[in-house]
Amino acid sequence: MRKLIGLAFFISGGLLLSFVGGRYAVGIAQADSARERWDADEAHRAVLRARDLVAHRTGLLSAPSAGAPVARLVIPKINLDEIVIEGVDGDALNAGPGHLPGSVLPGVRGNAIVSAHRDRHFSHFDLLNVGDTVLTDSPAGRMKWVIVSQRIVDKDSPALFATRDTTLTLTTCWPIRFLGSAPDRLIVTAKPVERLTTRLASAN
Amino acid sequence: MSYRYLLGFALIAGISSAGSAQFTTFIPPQTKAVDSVKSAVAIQQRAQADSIQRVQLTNMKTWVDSAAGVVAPPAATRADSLMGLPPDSLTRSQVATDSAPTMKNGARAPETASDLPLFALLGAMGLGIGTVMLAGTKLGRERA
Repeated sequence: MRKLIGLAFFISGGLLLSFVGGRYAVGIAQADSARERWDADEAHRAVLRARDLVAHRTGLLSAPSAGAPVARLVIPKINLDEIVIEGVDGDALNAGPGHLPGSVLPGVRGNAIVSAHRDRHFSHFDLLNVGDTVLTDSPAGRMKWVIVSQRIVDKDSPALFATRDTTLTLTTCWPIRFLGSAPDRLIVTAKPVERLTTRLASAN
Repeated sequence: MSYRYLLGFALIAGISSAGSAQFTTFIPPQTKAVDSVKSAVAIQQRAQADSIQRVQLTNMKTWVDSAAGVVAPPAATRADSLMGLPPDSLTRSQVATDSAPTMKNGARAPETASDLPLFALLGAMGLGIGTVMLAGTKLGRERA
């Protein structure tokens, strides 16, 4: 009897660990794929951006398709360098930080919202402080941001608001170290300080 | 005298033709306008009746689907029907897009909560307990 119970514990524990490991592995593979696509498209985007600047068009800033890499997010303080995926559903957030559809891309006038899991890409967000630097690269351009506020809200509270000026909002679950479904959300707001012309260096 | 007769005939013919021309060009537009209004009203009434029927059918389908536990696409409004969009034209992808989280002023933060760390801990605990129990059983047998 004891052997059977032990075997049941062993198998169920192994299955749970396999599920978690598999989920993380799929996310890592998707993130790698997104980075490859991002890198491959960078030259293409540069040409299109130059063409759009000349033609005064905003074709690159149209709504991206779900799952597409839309931006690169770098936070040097916590060694974060991730490709942002369009969408905030389970699959998108498993692959990388997700850009909330309907919000603007980082660098465009308005509120650009990027979310990620606390146990994955934003796992060190508890180390961030007001004044820390955030860098983004998107079809709208490369931007340097500074964190201007951090607030914690209940998961059901209104947390996202449209802004008239250029804003970057990063959200994740709070508390960062929490077992189970975290009850709150950490909302980090950043404002642009500089539009960069050089390519972003890797945070790692 | 013959010139007077000729002039008289010419005047009568000219006036009558001009009068008839004016008469024929005036009447048809009036009739046409009345007809177009009538037909428009008739089309609108028919479309309204069709739309109301469609909405009732869609609601019935939604009710049946909900009773059966099937998620049904939202019913199209009467305005949609009048615009020429039949209620059945709502595809699954449109419904999925509508239900997907998007930016709205005052919206909640995206659902970033993850149970994976809890699952990992439970899995590790299960694996550990199972290993200890299996090892204990084996040790007990060896001692016996």
